Amino acid sequence: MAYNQILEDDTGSEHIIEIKDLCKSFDGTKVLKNITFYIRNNEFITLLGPSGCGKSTTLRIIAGFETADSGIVNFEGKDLKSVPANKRNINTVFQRYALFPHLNVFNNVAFGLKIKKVNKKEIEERVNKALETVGLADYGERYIDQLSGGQMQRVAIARAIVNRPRILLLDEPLGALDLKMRKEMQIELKEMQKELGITFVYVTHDQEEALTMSDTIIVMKDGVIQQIGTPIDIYNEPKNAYVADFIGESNIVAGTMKQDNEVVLSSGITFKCVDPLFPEFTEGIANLVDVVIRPEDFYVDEEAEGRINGTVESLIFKGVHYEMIVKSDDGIEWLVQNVDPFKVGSRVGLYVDPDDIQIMRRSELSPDFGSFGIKHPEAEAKKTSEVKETSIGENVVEEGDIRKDEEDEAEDAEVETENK
Amino acid sequence: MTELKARIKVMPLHAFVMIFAALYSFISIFIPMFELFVKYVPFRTYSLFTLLLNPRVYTRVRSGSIDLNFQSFAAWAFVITIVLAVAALTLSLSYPFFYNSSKKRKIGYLCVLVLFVGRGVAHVITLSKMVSEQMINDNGLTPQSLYVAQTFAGNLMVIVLGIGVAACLYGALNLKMNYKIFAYPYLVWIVIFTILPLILILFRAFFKKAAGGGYEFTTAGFGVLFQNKTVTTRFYGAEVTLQEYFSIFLRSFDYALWTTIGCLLLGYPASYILARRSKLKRQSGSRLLMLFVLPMWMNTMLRTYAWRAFFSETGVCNTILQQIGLIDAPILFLKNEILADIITKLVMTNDFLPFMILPLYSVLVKLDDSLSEAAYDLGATKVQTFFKVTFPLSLPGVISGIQMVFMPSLTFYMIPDILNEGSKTTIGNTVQNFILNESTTYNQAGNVLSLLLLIFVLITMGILRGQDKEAGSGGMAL
Repeated sequence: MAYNQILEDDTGSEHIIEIKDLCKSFDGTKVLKNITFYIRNNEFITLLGPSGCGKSTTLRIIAGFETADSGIVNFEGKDLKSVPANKRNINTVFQRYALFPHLNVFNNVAFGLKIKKVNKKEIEERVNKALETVGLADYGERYIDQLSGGQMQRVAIARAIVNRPRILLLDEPLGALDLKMRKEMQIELKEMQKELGITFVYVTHDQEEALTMSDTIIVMKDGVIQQIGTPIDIYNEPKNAYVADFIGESNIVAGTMKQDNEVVLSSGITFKCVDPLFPEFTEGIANLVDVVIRPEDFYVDEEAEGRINGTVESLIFKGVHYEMIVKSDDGIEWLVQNVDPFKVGSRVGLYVDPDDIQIMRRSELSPDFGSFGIKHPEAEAKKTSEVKETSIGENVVEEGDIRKDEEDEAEDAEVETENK
Repeated sequence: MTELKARIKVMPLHAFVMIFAALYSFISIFIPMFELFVKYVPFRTYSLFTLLLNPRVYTRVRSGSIDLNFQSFAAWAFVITIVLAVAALTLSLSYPFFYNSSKKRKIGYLCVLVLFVGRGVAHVITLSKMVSEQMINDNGLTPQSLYVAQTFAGNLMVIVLGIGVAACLYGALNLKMNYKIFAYPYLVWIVIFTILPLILILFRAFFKKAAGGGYEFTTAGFGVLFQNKTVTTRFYGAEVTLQEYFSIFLRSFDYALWTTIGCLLLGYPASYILARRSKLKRQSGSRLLMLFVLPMWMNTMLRTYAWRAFFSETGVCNTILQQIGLIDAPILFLKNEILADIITKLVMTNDFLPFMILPLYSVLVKLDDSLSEAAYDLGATKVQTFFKVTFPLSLPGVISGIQMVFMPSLTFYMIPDILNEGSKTTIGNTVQNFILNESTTYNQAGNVLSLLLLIFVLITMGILRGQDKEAGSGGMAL
């Protein structure tokens, strides 16, 4: 749970980068708040988050363009603080490529090697090999303005990998490409990473990109890490409402848990699930939780007891499946994806497999990411009373939980009395 | 306020034509028409305000002075004219306020139309009132001068009136205009002020007036310029004997070269720092840049005389040096050959510096920071980054800077003239001397010299342009 202990890795593989308590602020605004994580050797790691979440700043600190206010960046066991960017064995692929317009493709790629005074023959060999790797073998004589966006992207990658860096940093490199090109490049990048055996640190705001390519994803928000995990972990077991909302489409609703493997949704329907009670929860009391159900996990059938019964509000054909919005009787709108369409206005019952229900701790973020279409029941109450003791920030997951627990108990009591 | 701005944005072109016409007539008021009626040497200019405040105007005509009581015949007409013009201008400018309804708009246009017509009438009254018999007698006007003046004033008025009326009708009829039409006046400008003079220079370099009328072909101008006459001048302390005009050209070239080098050496770091600063602060212009450009707005001659005073025998420089006891007797900076040479080049550098800084700045400020970051990332040191990335990419700025400094400084003669008290002759002096000379042959030589200079400049520009293309686009001029 606590990220500052995460440096003790269980897999035992080598950590090429270890970042601890990294803080950075621009003009008094905190951009990074105690960022702590590690990067394993030869992995494809993605920093994922909306713009302004601090992911690019983290990358720039690793590259050496920015210096952190506090915190440690260890590269192969050595502190990087005193190593300037041009002495680090790390190369960057820039967002807008940053290719040198006054040089041709060959000289662009050869730039780093020429600086290092590698002999001419080797330069030629290595540059040609790098260009081959990115599939631009015959483009050496061209100038940058004669290239398409995708080709420029490849040149930028070639320019970086020709130096045989230990780590390649990629700052939203596919942002400027069209969708088809982006998909192609995603696969190519992943293959390239495997082939070259270089650690890739990839920054993006595109969750699909992150899921496709990464070995590990770090989800960030407002300078705080929300979750670190494999794409499957992140998708199936989001740690909080924010992650669930950001990665893929999801229905997030409030619920309560009284015992292991059983959750009661806010509308009073009980579902089986596979999650035990969180250790800090007390058995027998309705502990407040957030429940995530992915739209594709719903089974749509006839109305029945124990199902979420509602009316189909809209129906959209999406190619592989139909997307429906089902308004349940208690007013919550559910996003449902199903291969069979149901007519608008028809009554349906929704149910889910136990292992498709993800239970999360209630956190500060929960009210902002309510169920699909309507706000989380707590959101309105929060806004009116404006009980915001601390701003969202300072390691939400940890501190939020502790404080929440106290609040939860008080609320639990209320719920209990209401139930009676 | 923002709404007003937005409305001005959507103002169609004819509104701008109206504003232009009104502005033009407004300005034309300030050129007192009276001046057209006397054979006037422009020693003084009168504005409307002097005419109103002090109606008794003394005008010096070539022979003696004439006392005219302005108030008695024209001042009131001027007042009417200006009131009408201001009203028309105001109405034109307030166009956005009657923009919304077409009915109101038409009324507005009609008002402007009426005002313009009124202004024309006022002009006519002014004219007829001014050209009284008494005035003609007083000023000794000839029928020819009267005719010329009347035609000129009349034509001017017709033009202004025409534009105004056209604009008003145009607006009232709700027509649309093509932007292209605004390029035509500029085309006329180019023909009159650029192409015609060039043709004239070319013509006069090879032809001269024949005795019996007409023109005849001659190369006498070239003869003067390339005559076999040598002079001995001093260059950097050494005596050199060269063909007369070649030595002059060499001196000008020397000045221009060092001015350009000086500007580049001073201007590049300055604009680099300025560009960095404005990038850091994320603003386009900076006050610091203005400080560099500020001297440009001061008269060059004034500044040069100030420099001469600064370096003179009793000037600031000598006084300070004497006060702190470095020297006993004042140094004659401008009498010492080498010192004077250096000072001349420095002052010229100072004068042309803004022309180097501005194009350089505009290129440097547009340079993507990520390029130098990329170079740094690839292992280059800050110095390597500068020479391998920043400088090559700023070459277009360097080239247009050189063009803007080298070309004018080649024919610049005021600073060397003032600082050396005429002891150093440059191409500029020579052209002036040739043109002012009474002899036709020398006149022609002046034209030939201008032509040769033009060819020289074109060749240099051609070379620089080739460089510019290689370095990529982004240069300011040409």
